[in-house]
Amino acid sequence: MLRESSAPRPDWREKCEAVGFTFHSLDDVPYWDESARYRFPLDQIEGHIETGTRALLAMCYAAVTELVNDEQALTRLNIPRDFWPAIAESWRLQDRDLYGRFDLAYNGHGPVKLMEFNADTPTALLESAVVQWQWFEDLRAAGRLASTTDQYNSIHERLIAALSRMGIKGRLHLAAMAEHEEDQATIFYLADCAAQAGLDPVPIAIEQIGVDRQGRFTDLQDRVIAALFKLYPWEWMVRDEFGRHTLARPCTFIEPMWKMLLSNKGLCAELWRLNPRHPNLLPCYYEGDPAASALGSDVVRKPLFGREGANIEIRRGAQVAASTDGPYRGPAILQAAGPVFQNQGRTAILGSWVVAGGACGICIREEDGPITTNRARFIPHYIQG
Amino acid sequence: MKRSMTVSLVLMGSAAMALPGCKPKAEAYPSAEACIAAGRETPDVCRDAFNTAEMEHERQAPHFLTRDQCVAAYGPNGCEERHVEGGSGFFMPLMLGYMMGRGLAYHPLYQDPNRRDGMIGPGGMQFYNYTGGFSGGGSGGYYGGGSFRGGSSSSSSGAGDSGTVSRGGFGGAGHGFSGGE
Repeated sequence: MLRESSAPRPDWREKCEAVGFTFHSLDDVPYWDESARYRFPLDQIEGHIETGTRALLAMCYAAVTELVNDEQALTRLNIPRDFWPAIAESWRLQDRDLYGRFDLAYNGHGPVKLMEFNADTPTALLESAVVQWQWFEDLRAAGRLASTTDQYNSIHERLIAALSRMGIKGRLHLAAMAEHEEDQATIFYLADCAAQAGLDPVPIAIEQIGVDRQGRFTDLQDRVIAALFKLYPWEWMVRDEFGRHTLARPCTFIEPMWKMLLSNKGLCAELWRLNPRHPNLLPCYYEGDPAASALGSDVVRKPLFGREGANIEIRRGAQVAASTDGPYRGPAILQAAGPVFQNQGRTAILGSWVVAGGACGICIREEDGPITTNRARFIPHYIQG
Repeated sequence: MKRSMTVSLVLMGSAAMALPGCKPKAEAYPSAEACIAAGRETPDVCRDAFNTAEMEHERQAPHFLTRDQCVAAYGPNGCEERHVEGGSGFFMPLMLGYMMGRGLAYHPLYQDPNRRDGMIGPGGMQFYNYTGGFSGGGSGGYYGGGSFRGGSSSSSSGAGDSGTVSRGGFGGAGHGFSGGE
């Protein structure tokens, strides 16, 4: 794993915008940053990243089987009790999941270590699957990358194949918060994949979803929603006014309800309990668990329901070495600091994508400080050697 | 090969990607001063919006004969008593703030009876403070984009489809944050 400088394509902005990647810059600072690139040898991609991702996913599925019937664990995970039976039902009926992104600590040496699993509403999808791929093809076509190079990224193909096998016929509604450009682009990208999978995609703002007398969800034309992709986390849905309507399984949800157990930061503590000392896990405990004293001096505190790097605290012994503010309170986990890639004060987090249960690509997000937030930069990668 | 053979898009980039039926972005402030301090609008616009909303409040806010009736609609901290010279008084909601925004009229906002940190506007439009506790009032805050809650939504039925009885029950817990991560 090597960070290299790389000259941006002169027309990179136009290229990004042509595929609907309009949020490539934030306040005129590039979020998509192709002034650098990461190079991986194939044995790191396959031996460390792909293998580690498969192992993590297998542990996650095994953990759901355990957790759905463990009332103490469901309590620790702060899942509302009303939803326990529906979550178990969703798992028992094998509701299909579409995608997820593991955030991994990795520096090229040794196994990848799970930092968290964005199992429910991952973004950075369009830039991972499409923009990064086009960057790679452009550089190869220009002779700037050798013909022997490759990229670990079959996300796009896998999404289309997975969407055609979700058991959905006809209409697929896709919902996101009305005022978030990145979220909207994500559902429009998935709508594009759905169209290529033979479905009839209908984007809708999550705030505009209605409910009819039978408790079924409806769109703005009062059509019943039979299948709903929602880029809106279950942890919020269950606390919303309409959350109770999901209990009767009124439609196919993507992601399915059981994903609520995996998108929770408490998962890291549960995985460590179920698979002690697994090489792809970091030691992790709930805050307040006496066993947490086993953690070394470098510890990261994360709220169970925190998002986008908010309310994270990095502790070095008794000192707080770094922290971010944010709105997330409530229970938290304490996790040992992982072997994160560092280069001249920058840190890089590896996002490892899974689609329909298969590991299929990565994205790298770089931050100037030690905590990856929504201001991180996306850096493309390639495989050589 | 570890990458997609081809990546082609059929919808992206071709059409304007905006969700249908999205409402214009709404802002809400407890006072003209808070609006000015937030710096999103000019001071003149802030004051004009506040004055317009206040006028609407004085003219059109609902009147209740008893405090209980008012409290049922606007919560225990959302009402005030007005005395009328030579007559009996009445109760009406307290104007807690006002809403404005591009393409939106200016309206007064009242206490959301269901959420201490929320305000409601015309048509059940809800605002939640995501900059910190709202109850104190004076803090200059930009409130979460409004989400609409049912009540008056149409319920036309089509063949095989159904009538919507309520809308807007998702989105509240988001407090205006992004749903993705």
